[in-house]
Amino acid sequence: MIFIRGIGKTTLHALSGIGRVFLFIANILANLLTRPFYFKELGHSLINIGYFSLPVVGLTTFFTGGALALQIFAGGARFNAEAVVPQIVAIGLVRELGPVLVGLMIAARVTSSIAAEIATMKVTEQLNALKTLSTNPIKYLVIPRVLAAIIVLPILVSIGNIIGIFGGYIVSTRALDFNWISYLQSTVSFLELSDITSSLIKASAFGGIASLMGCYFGIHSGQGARGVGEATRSSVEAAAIFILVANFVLTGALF
Amino acid sequence: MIVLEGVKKSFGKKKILTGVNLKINEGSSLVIIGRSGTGKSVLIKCILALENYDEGTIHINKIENSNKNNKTFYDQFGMLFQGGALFDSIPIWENISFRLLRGNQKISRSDAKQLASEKLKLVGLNSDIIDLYPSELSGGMQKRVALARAIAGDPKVIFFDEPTTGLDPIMANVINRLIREIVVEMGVTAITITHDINSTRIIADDVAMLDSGKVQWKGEINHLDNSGNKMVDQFINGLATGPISNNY
Ligand SMILES: Nc1ncnc2c1ncn2[C@@H]1O[C@H](COP(=O)(O)OP(=O)(O)OP(=O)(O)O)[C@@H](O)[C@H]1O
Ligand SMILES: [Mg+2]
Repeated sequence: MIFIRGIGKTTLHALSGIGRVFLFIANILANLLTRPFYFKELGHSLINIGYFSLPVVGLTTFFTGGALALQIFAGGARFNAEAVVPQIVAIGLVRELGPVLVGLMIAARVTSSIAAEIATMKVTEQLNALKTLSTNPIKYLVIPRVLAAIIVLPILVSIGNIIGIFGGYIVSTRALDFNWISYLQSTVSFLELSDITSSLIKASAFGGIASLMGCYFGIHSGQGARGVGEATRSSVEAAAIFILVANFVLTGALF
Repeated sequence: MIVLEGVKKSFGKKKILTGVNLKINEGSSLVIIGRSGTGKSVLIKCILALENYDEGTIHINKIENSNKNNKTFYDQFGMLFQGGALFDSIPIWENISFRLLRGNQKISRSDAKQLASEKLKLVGLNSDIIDLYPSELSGGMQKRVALARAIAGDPKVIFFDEPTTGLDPIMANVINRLIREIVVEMGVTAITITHDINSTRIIADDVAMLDSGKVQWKGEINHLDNSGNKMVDQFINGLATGPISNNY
């Protein structure tokens, strides 16, 4: 009985949480197209989320591409299909691992920092101070961050895809005796436009989710250092889970 | 004119305001006194629509303040938060001229910087700190920068939540006089929260004493010493025993 009640309570809690997230999105949309626009804040966010994430994205995708090549080679060898390494590395990265891994790294790096920053501002009354200075926190803090992530993630993921394929290429040509020209040729001729668009659409969606969760949990943070900690943790959890769910849904839709 | 009628506010089961009635005339200086934890800060946040209240009405120049669609609502206000609430990611001068760097009253960045250093002088700070960040200042300095931010842009109504706590007595005196000057010379309506009776005597035209969620006494400053109200007497004399409840 207590067990069932617990499940019910958790479910209700989650549902009302999702409802609040939708209200939050509605609030963002209502403020999106009306003046003032904070272009300078948008520029800051683009640099913070995009440029400064490059090292993390590059390292993640490079090593994943390399490991992927090794795994596919080992798996392929079981039915004499070692030659498919370039194709599978390319499609696996572009359609799936590139956007998902970059999305998760952004959740770790960007969602957490947005949540902690905005939550600290809330706890120290800087959000209230913004309001009393005639500045809407949604317009000034949330919209630039969410837009920046939606804009910049496709670029990050494209770069990540290229670096990941390069990682696979290095491993295949140095360790697995692939011919470098034919490796590149197979990669390029195999990939279709739909692979790339699906990668970019996912990237934008994951960027939106990551920054939205950071902002949402920051704005709704509880009091004190504990509130900030809780907001940060919840934001990363929610961003990671929603990114994986969205990945599943989008993969189905863009199949 | 700001008019509060029957304002009630609870946090969960904890009743903070239990029916506040208050009138603040334009161009006057009201000081709100009361023990720590009585809800003074909550009260002014209700006036500024930063906190929702449960019951009652608050009108500012006959317009209900809960009408949040009014985009220019905050243009008329300045607010010094008890904790300063400076934006820690931008330098001092941008903090002070924050409102003037964007929005309706926008001025150029060089003018804004100029204005920031003028306001800094008013609060007794040297203008060579304008490029520093808030975290590089002492607590009292931060408070004064926050005060400079609250008065920049010349709002018509300014709220000061404990403007002199954390300041040395000399600086406290400077700030008290500054607030008084703003009221007298610029016709600003000032609402100041303080525990300091000395500050009260300098700043106030009127004094309101908040206790047990209500305004227990309100009167002119020259009636403070013969208010005939036992709570006020206890408070201004700092007596340990008296009618003021001890549950804060
Ligand atoms: N966000 C909040 N959540 C729950 N309780 C709160 C919140 N804000 C204030 N309170 C409670 O409301 C009461 C009044 O707080 P308030 O900050 O208004 O006191 P105050 O009169 O300004 O005191 P002080 O002079 O110490 O600043 C306190 O008991 C406090 O615990
Ligand atoms: Mg207070």
